[in-house]
Amino acid sequence: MTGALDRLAARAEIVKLARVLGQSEQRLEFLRDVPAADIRALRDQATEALHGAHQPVLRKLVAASGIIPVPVLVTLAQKAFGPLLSARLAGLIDGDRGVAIALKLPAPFLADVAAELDPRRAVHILSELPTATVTDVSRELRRREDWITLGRFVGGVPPEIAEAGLAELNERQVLEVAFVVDDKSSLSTLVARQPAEQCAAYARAADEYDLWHALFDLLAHLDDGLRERLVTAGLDEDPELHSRAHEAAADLGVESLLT
Amino acid sequence: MTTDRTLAEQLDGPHFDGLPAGIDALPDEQKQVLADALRQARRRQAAALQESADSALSHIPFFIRPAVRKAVGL
Repeated sequence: MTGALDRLAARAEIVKLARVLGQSEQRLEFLRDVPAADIRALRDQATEALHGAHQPVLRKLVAASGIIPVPVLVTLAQKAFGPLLSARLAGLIDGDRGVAIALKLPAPFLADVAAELDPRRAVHILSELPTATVTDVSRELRRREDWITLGRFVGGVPPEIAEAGLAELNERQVLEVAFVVDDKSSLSTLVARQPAEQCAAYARAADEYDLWHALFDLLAHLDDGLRERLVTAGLDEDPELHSRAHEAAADLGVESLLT
Repeated sequence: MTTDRTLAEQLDGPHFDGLPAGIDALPDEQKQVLADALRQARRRQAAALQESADSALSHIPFFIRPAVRKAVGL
């Protein structure tokens, strides 16, 4: 089954690399047999190359921004800098100043910035944002079905920030986000808190939205007890759903996850 | 005539320690797809940043523009 799980992991990595490079997933389909860890490493290298470019100019802009009042910077961010430059500057600007600016920006714009941001470079700002701001931005990203950006923030920010961002996701959305999350270990905490009826909803969501690959990838990263609870609660009471789940698992070569 | 940089050449930097093995083992034409994609991403980024920076000055109040120009080195 290891090969089958590797292919699932590679599929998730292709989705994320395609976003970084601005390509379609189909264009990068040739990577499906490359180890997921190698695709992830390439993504990190490409991200470093893109974020590391233009540093001298960006640092000058940050230095210049120090003499510009925050309200003017808020206007500049939206009318001139745009999401990409704002995201690059967020990685370099002072934390307090960054938070002060973020608090005055509308959630849709912050969502645009989040899509361009490597959260690891802006932890000093993200960790100080109020829960309400994180929730508003998460809601906007959810509305846009931007699972990759939502997933990027799980594991890349303090747990309480991640939990605020994920708190309002339904089961289908959790599966979508979980599939593209980098740090899968954080998913156990998320699933462990769900009541049994919620576990059943994951299987139904996988069935309804053709997200079996995401459900099986999630199961593969849970401990045995949690996996069994999810499988038992999700499949044992509905024979037809049980049958479709086993069929999908067989297609993907991951039947042992359901035993 | 200049030759487009390879994938490894584009990624080269202080923290780069070579292409991941599975990527390096790809046929040249597939590595070229990745190199082209990265090159396009860098160019899109450079164009977006240039446009943003050019537009920014016109939104800054007159009285601090000289100080901002000086800080940025314009």
